[in-house]
Amino acid sequence: MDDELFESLHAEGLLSASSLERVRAYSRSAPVPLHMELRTILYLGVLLLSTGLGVLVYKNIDTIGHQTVLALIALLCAGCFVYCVRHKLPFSPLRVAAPGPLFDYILLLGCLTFITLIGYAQAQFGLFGQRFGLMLFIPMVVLFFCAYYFDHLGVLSMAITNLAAWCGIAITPERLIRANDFSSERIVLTGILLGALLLVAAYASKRSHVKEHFEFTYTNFGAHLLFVCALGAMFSFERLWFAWFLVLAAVVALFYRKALRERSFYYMLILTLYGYVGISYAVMKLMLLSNPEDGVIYLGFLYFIGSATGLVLFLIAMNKKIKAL
Amino acid sequence: MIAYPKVWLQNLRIRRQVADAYDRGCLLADERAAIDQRYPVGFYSPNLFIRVGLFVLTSMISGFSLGFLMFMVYSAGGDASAWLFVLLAIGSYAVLEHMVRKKAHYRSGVDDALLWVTFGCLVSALALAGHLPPLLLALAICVLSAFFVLRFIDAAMTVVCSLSLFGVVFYALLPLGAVAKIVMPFVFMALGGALAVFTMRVRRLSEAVHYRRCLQVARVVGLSMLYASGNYFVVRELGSELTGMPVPDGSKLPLGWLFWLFTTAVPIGFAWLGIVRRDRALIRLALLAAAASVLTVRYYYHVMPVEWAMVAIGSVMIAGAYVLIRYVKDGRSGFSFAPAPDGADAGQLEALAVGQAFGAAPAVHTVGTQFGGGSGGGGGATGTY
Repeated sequence: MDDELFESLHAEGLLSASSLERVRAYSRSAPVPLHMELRTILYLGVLLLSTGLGVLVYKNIDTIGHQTVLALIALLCAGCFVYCVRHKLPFSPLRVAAPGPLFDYILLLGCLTFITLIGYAQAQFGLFGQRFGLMLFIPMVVLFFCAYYFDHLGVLSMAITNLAAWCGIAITPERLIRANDFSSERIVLTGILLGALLLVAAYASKRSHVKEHFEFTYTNFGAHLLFVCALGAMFSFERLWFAWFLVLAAVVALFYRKALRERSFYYMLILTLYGYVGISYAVMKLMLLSNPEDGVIYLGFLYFIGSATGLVLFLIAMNKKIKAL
Repeated sequence: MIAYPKVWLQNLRIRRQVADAYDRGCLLADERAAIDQRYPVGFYSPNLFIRVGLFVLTSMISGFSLGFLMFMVYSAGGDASAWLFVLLAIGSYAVLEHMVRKKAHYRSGVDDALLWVTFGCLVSALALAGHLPPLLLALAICVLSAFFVLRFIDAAMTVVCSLSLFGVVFYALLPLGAVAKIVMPFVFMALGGALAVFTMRVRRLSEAVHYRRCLQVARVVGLSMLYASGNYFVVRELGSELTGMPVPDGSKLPLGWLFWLFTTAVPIGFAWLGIVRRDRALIRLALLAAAASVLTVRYYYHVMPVEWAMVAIGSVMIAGAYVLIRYVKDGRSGFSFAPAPDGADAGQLEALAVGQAFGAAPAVHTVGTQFGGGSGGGGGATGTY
């Protein structure tokens, strides 16, 4: 903080003497916040540890020592959960803070080691036999339970990812577009249903006032899933593409209302971008249908230049609108 | 020189400092309101998400405009790519100046995009048409980016400018042949250090007050190059590749011990300086450099299998962080563990990152088509069973 600035503000009469004193005191001690760096180290530590343990189990699965390794991991997992149960603050439908700096990470470590154990049990003992669905289902239930019981947003994200995986959909940002096969009707319909389910869960969170802060996580996953599925279906299905375009339009309208209601720039942005992709595809399709020759390329360029400009004006207007709400 | 109205930039600085003081409880609400009123800012600076959207769209418009012009020219049988780039550069620069001066855009996404389109087009034009030797091209990039930094105070452009400076030095030294290969790391280290020191000195000047962010960025680039040029892996692998003089595998690098020394000592030096000066940037650089050094050691010397290393390092990190947190929480050391005042959004983002990094079900064979089949997700403790 710039002491000179506050001195001159005081001289101008905009700052009281006591405030100036507080500023001076703060900049004298001015602790350097290391919060983010330390948390990053903790996350990376948990990531390295859990991945290392997983690889260890996998590599040693046929050797004599693997029982010891497994026992140790099970011990670690149990230890983490015991710690969390012991130290957690009482359950409440409102947001419950973590009782200490390490709590969140120990819970995370516990959940990850649990998943490793499940995988091991399946590989070594065939615990679930051919019922692979059950193998995904059980961790998912445990994760959801932990997320609510211990109030951990990260674990909730993991639970939702597992839910999607159980349904056959890869939902993480990195894999949403690449890893799903949108030409399969089953996948697309599952995706839409799952997206809708997530939105319902979000709505339920808000309405019932149980863990309201979970609402954004549910909605975020649901929104992207719905948009991407609708677009994917539009691109894949030659005959029904217009029907899917209408579905996309409905989702866009839904989130437009939500963006205005919640004054959210984020939702406004994503609905604009996804909607733009959809509209452009529709326009291109119509142009190609009616006018399949060279001139269409010029039209195409002009469309993109014109529409993007229009969209810029739209975003600027929306920015003003949300700010004014 | 600066395109943005200086008064508003100054007022923006004042407002930010006051907001920071208010968040830490040093100021009263009505004091802040009075100050904000006394120092108005008329910029059009939309929300971050809108800014991203505007950036993407403006880039698209430029891209399609270029494509449109190119298509017209090519179908008419011409080949004037370089001139088209120049044309687009002039056009976008004109729009940029208009937006900034008449429409008061500041970090609106539109000015960001137009800045980069202009720069990119000019560089492309030079690269295509000029048949310039690399040295002159690097010099041109350096000068152009310096101009844009001075006029538009763009942090990313500062990175380009700083790196191109190293490029200029590199191509200038290259003709020296074998001598260049030996001398280059030291020259780069010296240049990186000089850049860091230079930016620190300039930062103190009152005229440079609006360039503080850019100077910090340049400093980080300088320090990073200081580390990277002394890193054993970089010197050995990149050095041989860039200068076209290959080093056979398994052979010792001349003066190799010196670079191992640098690889280990520089991160420690950064950390020590960072703690003593309570400089966050130095501490972060120290952490990144330490990680890079560890990876460098692992590349050449396999001390233990990967999974054991991960378990060991992971445990050390968790334990170390815990100890540090306990130590720092007292507040005596001059550091604090208190989270930043606006933690809510950051928390959501963090959760999303966790879901991405850890959200994996044990991988499974795709079996049948019932609900409940399908293959599991990415990272975390999985293997295929």
